[in-house]
Amino acid sequence: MSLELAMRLTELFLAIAFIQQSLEHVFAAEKKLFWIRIFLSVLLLCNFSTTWICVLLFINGIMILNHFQGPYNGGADKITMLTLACLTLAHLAPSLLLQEYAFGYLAMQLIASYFVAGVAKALNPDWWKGKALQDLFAFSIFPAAEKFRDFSTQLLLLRFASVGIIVFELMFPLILISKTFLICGLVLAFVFHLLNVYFFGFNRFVWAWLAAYPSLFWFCEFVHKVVVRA
Amino acid sequence: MLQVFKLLAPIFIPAWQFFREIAPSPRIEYALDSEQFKTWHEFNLRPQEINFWGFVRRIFYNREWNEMLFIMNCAEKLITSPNQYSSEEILKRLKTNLKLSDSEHLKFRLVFVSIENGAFRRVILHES
Repeated sequence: MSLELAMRLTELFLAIAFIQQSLEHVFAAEKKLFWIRIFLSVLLLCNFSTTWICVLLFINGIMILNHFQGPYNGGADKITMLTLACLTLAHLAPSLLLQEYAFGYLAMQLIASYFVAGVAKALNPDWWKGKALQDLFAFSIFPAAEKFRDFSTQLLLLRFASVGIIVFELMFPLILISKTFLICGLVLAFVFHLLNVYFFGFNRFVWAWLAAYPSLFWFCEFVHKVVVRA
Repeated sequence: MLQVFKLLAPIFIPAWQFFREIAPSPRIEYALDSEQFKTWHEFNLRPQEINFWGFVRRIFYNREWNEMLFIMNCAEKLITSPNQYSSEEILKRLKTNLKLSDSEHLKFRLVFVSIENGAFRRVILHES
């Protein structure tokens, strides 16, 4: 995938992610900031003056961060802002090399978002035993329905799921091996995010991470070209 | 400028350590002046269960749940780095969600729940 196509796909998915997030705020006290974000996102979808729309969306993003004294929705807000920042820098970059640095940073952070999470879990014995997932269901605020708390009694199932999550996250960098690995990895990641919506209600993560996936298609090809050249 | 830097630093250099460990988890309880602040109710928007169409809707639109996660995030911040903003946001959003009028007053408290030796442990760490 060319850098140009990857950037355009990122713009489209990012605009959709911003609109999805903003629709949850359009009747709240903070609605003005989000109506502006929707308006700018529609312009981004229409490919209207993309560089400046990205800059304006970034300023709008800082104002939203300031309004909530940080991210409203944790990791999802972080990756959407990071995607926007890298996209904006890639548009503003005066050379192809700097464009590649900016977009490559996004791809590497995306890989790190799975891999580092896997390392953090692997270093905690409670994750290997299934106890961390058990606690998550038993008393954390995250289970999206009361009925899901019943899973906390299924220790064997939770242990199996925990090991599966750790192995998947640790192996995520293998997507760089080939396009088949990349597609398989992203399908698994997408299913993982859907399960997170079902059990924990993390819907924004689906759209936020999806918006950054095109960078991986470009980055995978870019890495292969660099390896062949070397 | 320093404030902008503080907001952007964790965006450009994120930690990505999701659920590294499961810490004691906040519950928000509120009491109303119409009940002389005598009874504490748990603020809980969690449904009993979710059906397939509920799940599909939540992929696209999950306002109430995301707001609850934000309120809980404010509750955690109130304990780790006490600040006026988090307290005001919790009060404001509780009033909106409970559909209370401006003249009605409420108090809230933060109860942190964990499991110790196989039993639930509840500790009240803040009362407004």
